[in-house]
Amino acid sequence: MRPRDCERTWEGDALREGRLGSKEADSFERHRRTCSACAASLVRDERLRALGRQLPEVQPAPLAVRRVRARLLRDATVGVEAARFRSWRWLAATAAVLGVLGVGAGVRWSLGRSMPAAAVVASAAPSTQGPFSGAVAAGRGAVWSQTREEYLEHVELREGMIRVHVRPQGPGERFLIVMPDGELEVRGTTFEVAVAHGATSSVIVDEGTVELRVRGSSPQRLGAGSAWTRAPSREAPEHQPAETPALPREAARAPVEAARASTSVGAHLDDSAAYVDAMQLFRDGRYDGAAATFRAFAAAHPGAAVGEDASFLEAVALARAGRTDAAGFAAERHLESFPRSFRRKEASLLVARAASRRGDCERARAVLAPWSASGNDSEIHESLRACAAGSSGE
Amino acid sequence: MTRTDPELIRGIAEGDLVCLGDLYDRYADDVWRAVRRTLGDSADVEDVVHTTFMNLPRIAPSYDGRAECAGWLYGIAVRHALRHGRGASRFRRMLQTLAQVVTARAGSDPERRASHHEDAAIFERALAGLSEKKRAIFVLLELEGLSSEEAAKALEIPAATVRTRLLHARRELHAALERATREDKP
Repeated sequence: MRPRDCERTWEGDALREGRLGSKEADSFERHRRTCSACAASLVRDERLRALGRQLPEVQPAPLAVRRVRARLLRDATVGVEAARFRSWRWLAATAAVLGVLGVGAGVRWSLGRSMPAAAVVASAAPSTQGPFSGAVAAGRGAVWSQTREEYLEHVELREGMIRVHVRPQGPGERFLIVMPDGELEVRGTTFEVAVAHGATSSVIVDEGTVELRVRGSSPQRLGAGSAWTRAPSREAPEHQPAETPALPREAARAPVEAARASTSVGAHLDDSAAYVDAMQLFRDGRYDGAAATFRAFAAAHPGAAVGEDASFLEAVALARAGRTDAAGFAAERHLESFPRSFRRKEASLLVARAASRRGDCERARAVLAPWSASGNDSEIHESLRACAAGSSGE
Repeated sequence: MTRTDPELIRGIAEGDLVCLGDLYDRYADDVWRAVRRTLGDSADVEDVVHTTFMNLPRIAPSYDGRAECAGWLYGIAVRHALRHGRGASRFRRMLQTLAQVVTARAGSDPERRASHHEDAAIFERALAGLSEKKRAIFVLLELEGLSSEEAAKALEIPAATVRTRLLHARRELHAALERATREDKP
């Protein structure tokens, strides 16, 4: 039978947590020896703790931990907060229901909050979200600004690289990236765009579709997994970009879509198959296809054990395809997603090569700084060669 | 050189993603365990762990600077878990899922039932039957070792509320264990 409660039983916890003074502690110790209610209560509570210690150890699967890590760093990079998006959608749905019920004033208030008449963010901010529909994460030294007026949002990029995540646009909304020599229009996507020396140097699309309009070229659509880079042209230093679709549309999309189709059947079974496909393309020297397939694989399986390899090999494949800028951006992505990557040095070399090629010697030297002090390293010299040549010419 | 918790949190407040990754590597397992024991439903645990760390850049400036941030992280994670599980349907589904898992685990293995782990299985089931708020308190204080003051600070509720919930959680667990023991007797 359960003993009657004692009014001093609570002191058992206080004693355990050290909340009793020495006199009170001594007093309770004496009391518990003679109080059957307190003694029984302490025994019962200790039994619960002992049973708690016997619970099966809760350890997350290593792959799940890595999956969340990759998702966390990816979302933190672009300033996207999944929960916030979910609650935003929930609020939007609520607003729609209220609208149907005729609560016009409430809807107007909601719209007024989410779509201010005008908003501007200067390039000093490393990333944005706030009232904007696009979240911008800027690379080092990027010069950009973000503006929203009613339903039209602009991001003006004057120099450097930005990564942009745009939520799906509502009816009447437009989202434009304005570069010195053109513009990009998007409907809801994640992509990177870089400007160097006053001209667009590359556009890499992760998700969705963007429409690229560059001066002197006809407009073109870039889908997920494809990229556009400006060909280096010594004859045309006046920033007239030569259009070079980095991935021929069919060549680029086929492997991406193949990889996605396979993952929809069964992620676990197809993990290795998609990766093997990518490796085979790589070994065959079909580097464009290999890069796109590695990228699709990494995007579809962020927690895969070989995700780090896929992310790095995408950069290597792009480099071997002669797409130095795209390789540099892929390597930047790899370093952000896997800061402790075993291929940190190799990825940094790719970043440095791309940076020095577009004249960003400061970035090139910075990314190689951890290894520059270690003495003569031919790879580092090679990666900084363009910068060295430039400085000797000055 | 290994950075301390306050250094990592300062870095996170300044937007350093490396610090965020390092803090995640240091505490992901612990946070995962606390959330898993509070929430039960494994599919939602990932979301809550993700949200917990994803919110750190926003709330890092409010960190009080204590040397170890585990308790602080538990509090954030459990608050998210409680908020996450607030919907009635989600709560019912979670309880059903957990009850099924525990029943299956206990029922599908006769040796396990016969072993000295039987009490633990009953206890696990009883724990799953507590309300989320009481379970969160029991997990933080009795399983993760926080004091009532620490749990109160972490969950942003009065310490008296923490102690009251702990008292009720224990009573319900004792009652469930006694009931199970009576039912097992022929």
